Amino acid sequence: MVLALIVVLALWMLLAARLVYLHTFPSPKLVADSQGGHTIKRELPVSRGRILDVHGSILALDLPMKNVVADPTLTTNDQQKYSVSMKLAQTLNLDPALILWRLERPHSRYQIIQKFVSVETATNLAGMKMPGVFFEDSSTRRYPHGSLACHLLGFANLEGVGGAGIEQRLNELLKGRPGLRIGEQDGKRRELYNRRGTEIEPQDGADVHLTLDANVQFLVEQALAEAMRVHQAKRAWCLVERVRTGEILAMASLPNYDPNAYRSAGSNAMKNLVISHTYEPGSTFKLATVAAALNEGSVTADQIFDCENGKWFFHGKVLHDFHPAGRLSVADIIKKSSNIGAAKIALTLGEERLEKYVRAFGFGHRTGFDVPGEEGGIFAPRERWTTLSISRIPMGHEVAVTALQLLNALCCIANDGHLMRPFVVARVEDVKGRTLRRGVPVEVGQPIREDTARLMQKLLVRATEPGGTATKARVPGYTVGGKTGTAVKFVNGTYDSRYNVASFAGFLPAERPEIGIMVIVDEPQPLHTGGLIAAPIFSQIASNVVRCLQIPSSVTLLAGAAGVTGGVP
Amino acid sequence: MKTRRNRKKFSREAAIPSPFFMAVGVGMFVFFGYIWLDQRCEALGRRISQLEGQKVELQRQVKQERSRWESAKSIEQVGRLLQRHHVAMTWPDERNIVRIRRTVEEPSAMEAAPARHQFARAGGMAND
Repeated sequence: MVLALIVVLALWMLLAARLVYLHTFPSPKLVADSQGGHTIKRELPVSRGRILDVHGSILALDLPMKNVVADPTLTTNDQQKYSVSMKLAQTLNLDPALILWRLERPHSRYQIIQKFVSVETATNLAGMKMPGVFFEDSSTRRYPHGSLACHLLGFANLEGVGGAGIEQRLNELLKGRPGLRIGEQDGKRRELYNRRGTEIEPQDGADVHLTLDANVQFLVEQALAEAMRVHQAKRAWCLVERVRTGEILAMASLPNYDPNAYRSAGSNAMKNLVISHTYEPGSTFKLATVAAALNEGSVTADQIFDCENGKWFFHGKVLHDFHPAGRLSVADIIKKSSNIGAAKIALTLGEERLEKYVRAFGFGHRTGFDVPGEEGGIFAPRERWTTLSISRIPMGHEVAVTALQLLNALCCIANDGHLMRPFVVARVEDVKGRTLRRGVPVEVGQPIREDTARLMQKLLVRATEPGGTATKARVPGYTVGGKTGTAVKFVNGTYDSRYNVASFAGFLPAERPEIGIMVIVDEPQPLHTGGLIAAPIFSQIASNVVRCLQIPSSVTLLAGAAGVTGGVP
Repeated sequence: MKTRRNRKKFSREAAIPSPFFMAVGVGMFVFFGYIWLDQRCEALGRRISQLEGQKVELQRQVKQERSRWESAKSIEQVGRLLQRHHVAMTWPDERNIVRIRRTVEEPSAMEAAPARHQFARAGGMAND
C-alpha cells in the first residue's frame, strides 16, 4: 500500500518536474508551435493631433468612428440575409438591394457595408444582434468650423495622411506614432490578458497652434463672400498680417470648400490663391519702385515730374495714365497712381538698382511660408528685360507676384523697413505639453532705411486722403495708408480691358502700424478699379478687425503721445 | 517490570520520511499558489482591459463633445442663432469705448480706493 502510494507520488513528481522543465527550458520548436496560432500583434490606434487657432479654438481634430463590415458566410439563409440588409439599410440610410448584393457572396468573408459610422449608430446596430455583422475601429478627420480657413488647414485623407495645407506640411508631427501590443489569444480568439508581452504605448500626434484668429478669418471670409456676390467676381482673396512680426491672422480665398467633404470639391475651389496664384499686381507694385528711388536718393518726395497729361511715348510705345495729370510731385504720383510718373521715377533709378530693390523686397522668390504650394512669382533677371521693361515693371506689369509677397513688402514699409518672414505656425506641442517647434518672428532683410520707410508711410497715407485713389479705404477713427491696384488681365494673348484684377494693400493705424491687409478681387463687374472695388472691402474688413483685435484708434494714439489722460491700455 | 520498546515496530511506522511530506507540502503550496496567482492575474487582466475600454470610450466622448462644442460656438453658428432670435449686434462705436490707462506700478488696496475716487471726481475716465 505504502509502496503504491510512493509510486503514484513519484509519478506525479515526475510529471511536475517535466512541467517545470518545460516552463523553464522550453524547446524553441515547441514554443514556435504553440505560439504560432495564439500570438497576436495588434497595432494600437493613434489620434492625429489637433489644429488650433490663436485663442485655442479647435479647427481640426480626429473623431473615433466605426466601420460596419459583414461576413456573408455567417448569414446562412435568404430570410436572414433579407432581414439583415433591411435593418442595416434602415439605420444607415442605404439601398437594401446594395447590402443584399454584398451579403450574397458566399466565398467572401469580408464586405464593407459602410465606413465612418458614428459610434452611437454602431452601438444601435450592435444591439440588433445581426448575424455576420461586426464593427471595426476607425477614425475620421473633422473640421468643426466647416470651410473656415480651409485653404490654410488643408485636409487629411481617409488614410489619415495630410493632403494639403498645414495638414500636409506638418503631417509628420500631426500623425503621431501608433502603439504595438504583442500578446496571446485563446482558441476562441479572446485575448489572454495575462499573456501580454510587448506593449508600446501609442504616441498621439502633436497639436499645432496657429497665429490665425478664427474671428478675423470669419470676418474676412464674410466680407469676401459679400463682395463676390455684389461685384459678380470670379474669385477673391484676402490676407491679414501683423506688421511687426509677420504673423498671419487670416488667409482666405474664394471659392472655397468644406474639408469635411474634400472629395466633392473642385480643383478651383481647392487652390489657395493667396500663396499659389500669381498675377500682375498693377499699381500696388509702385510702392516698391518709389521706395527704392527714395532710398537711393534718386528722387525726393517733392520732386516734380511731368506726367504728360496721361499719354507718354517711350521707345515707340505709348503709356497711359488712368487719371491723366500734368506735373506731379513724387508724393502725388503715389497719391494719383500715375503710371507715367512711376516709369520716370524708375528711369532715375536705373535697371540695375530697380532689380536689386525688387528682389530685396522679396519678389521673384518664395517667402518660405509654412504652407505648401507657395509660388515664387515671376520676375525675370535684368539680362532678359526688353527696352520697355524699365517703364512697365515700375507700374506692376511684366512681373507676377502673390498676394503674400505684395502684402509682405507693404508690411516691410510699415515696419520701418524691416522685412519679416510671414508665418502661421505659432508652436507645435506634443501631448505632454512639450514644445516641439516654435514659430518666431524672423527678419529676412532690410531693403530700405527706417527714414525712407517712414516717409513712404506718410506718402501711402496720402492715397487715402481726399483726392487720392483710395479714399474708400478709410476707416473711421483710424489713419490708413495703402495703395490701390487695377491690373488689366492678359487674356488670349492680349491685354483685355474687360477683365481686371482690382486690389488694395493697406496698413493701419498709420501712426503705429499694427496690421496689414491685402484684398484682391478677380474680374469684378461692372466696376473694376481697386479704389472702387477692393478699397471698400478693405475698409469693411479693417473696421471690424481693429475692434476684434482691440487696436487703439489713431485718436487714442495721438492722445497717448500727447500725454492726455485715458490713453491706450 | 519494565517493558522494552519494540524498535522494529517503531521503525516501520516511520517508513515514509518526513522530508518527503514536506516536499509534497511545498509542491502543493507552489501548485495552489500558482493557480491562485494565475486566477489573480486573469482577474486583473480583465479589469485592466475593462478600464482600457472605459478610457477609450471616455476619450471618444470627450472628442465628440469637443467637436460639438466647437461647432456650436463657431461664429457662423452664433450668427445664425442671433438671426433666428432677431438679435442684431454691432460693434460699439469707437467713441463709446472706454480705455483705462494701465499704471506702471499697481497701487496697494488701501491706496487704490481713494485714488480711484479722486480719479473719478476729476472726470478721469475719458472717452477716446
